[in-house]
Amino acid sequence: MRRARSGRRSSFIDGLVSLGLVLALLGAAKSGKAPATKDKPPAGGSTTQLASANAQLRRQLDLATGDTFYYTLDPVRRVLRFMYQGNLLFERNLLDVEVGTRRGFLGKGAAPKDWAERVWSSGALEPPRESNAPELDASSQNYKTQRDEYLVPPTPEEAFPAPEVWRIRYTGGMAVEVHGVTDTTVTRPGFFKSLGQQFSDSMKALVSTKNDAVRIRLYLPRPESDMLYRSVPPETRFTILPVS
Amino acid sequence: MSFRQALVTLPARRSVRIGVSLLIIAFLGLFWTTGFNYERPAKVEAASLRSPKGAGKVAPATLQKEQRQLKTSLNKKLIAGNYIVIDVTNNRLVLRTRDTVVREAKCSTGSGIRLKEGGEKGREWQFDTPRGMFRVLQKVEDPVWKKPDWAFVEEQEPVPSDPRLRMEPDMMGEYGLHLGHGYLIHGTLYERLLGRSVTHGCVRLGRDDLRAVYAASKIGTPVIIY
Repeated sequence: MRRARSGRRSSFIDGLVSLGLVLALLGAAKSGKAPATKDKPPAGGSTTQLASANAQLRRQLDLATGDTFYYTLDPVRRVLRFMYQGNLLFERNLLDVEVGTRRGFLGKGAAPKDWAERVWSSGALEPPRESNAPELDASSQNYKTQRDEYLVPPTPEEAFPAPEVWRIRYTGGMAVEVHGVTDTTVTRPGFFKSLGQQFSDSMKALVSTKNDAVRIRLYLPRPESDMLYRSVPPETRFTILPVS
Repeated sequence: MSFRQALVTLPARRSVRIGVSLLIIAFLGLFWTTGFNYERPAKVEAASLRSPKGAGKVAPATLQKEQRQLKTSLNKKLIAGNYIVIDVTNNRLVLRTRDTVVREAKCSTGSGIRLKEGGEKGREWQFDTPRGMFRVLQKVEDPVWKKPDWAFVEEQEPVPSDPRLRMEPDMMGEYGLHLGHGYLIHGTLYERLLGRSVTHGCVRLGRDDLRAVYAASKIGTPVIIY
């Protein structure tokens, strides 16, 4: 009798673990894609709306003051804007946008609550663009030979080959990850590739000091993604701002 | 016990099953906490527009006044009319207004080469196109290139003391737009090299694009380079 009961308990535990495994895998691989429906406007009437609009304007003014370039992202309209002192330099319509915040363990590593309202600064390109421009010494004997090699310099594509996936990492845990898509009919990865990405993210989170608290994935056609990679200036800033 | 026997009997042992189950749960827990919650775009937009704490206590009239001031300050920063945007890595120039792209062109910008003179003087020059906001300070027709010292050093020629020996006409195309500190937007004899970073810092355009940009610009037209 005791052996039968323990047998049934073991099978029950096995069953629970298996069910938990399946549910966890399904949840982890969930892409988070949802139709871009509008949430209800915040309650509180005109005062709250005015205050909210003023907060947005203050952020725009903060970005427009100073000498750094910045990106603004409208996740609903899927528009990325590159700006300087309040003026539009270029605008890109994105194929898709994913905005993810890390769950964290006991609050550690989780995204700061105001991440969507902040201006993120000190962006660093990853992988960085390495310049191969040479140093020429006009007094050296083989100067002319060296100089002649650079009479026809490489094209931007040759000088700075862009990876398929690249990031701008901001101080404080924000990463903007850009995916260059060749087949524009399919933007986000499928179930198994998404699962693989999640597994890779988890393994990197264990060993790397560069842990993202917020990760924004932008999907662009490959040629535009490559041009964007090459054009990112140093010290760019980033924020989420609807296109007004 | 053989390996085959162990393979059959070990999973039957309760302790093994519990250990494996705990490992799986730990792994899943780790997987869960290092993963990401993906938000709906509308929820992200709503979060970016949250009003600050205590907003409900401020009178609407005060908020409206603040809004007018903020909008005025923002509008002062906006460029009215045409402005020029130059991408130095992709070698692209765009003439645009606030809402419209008027013209896109291939250009050439600074090569990034560092030239050392060597010898006693030991001067060095870095051939970059600088980033930032500039303005058209002067518009010139048929600009003449006044060769700086580096142009002679580059050719391993002596730097002349007679300024007339520095003048080279017909090198810079039909028009030039001075941006200050020796930088110009001008034409080129080498249109086949447009799109490549080949200049000593200036911005070169093809003939047709130069004509259009020159005609659309005036003194004070902003030029933003990134």
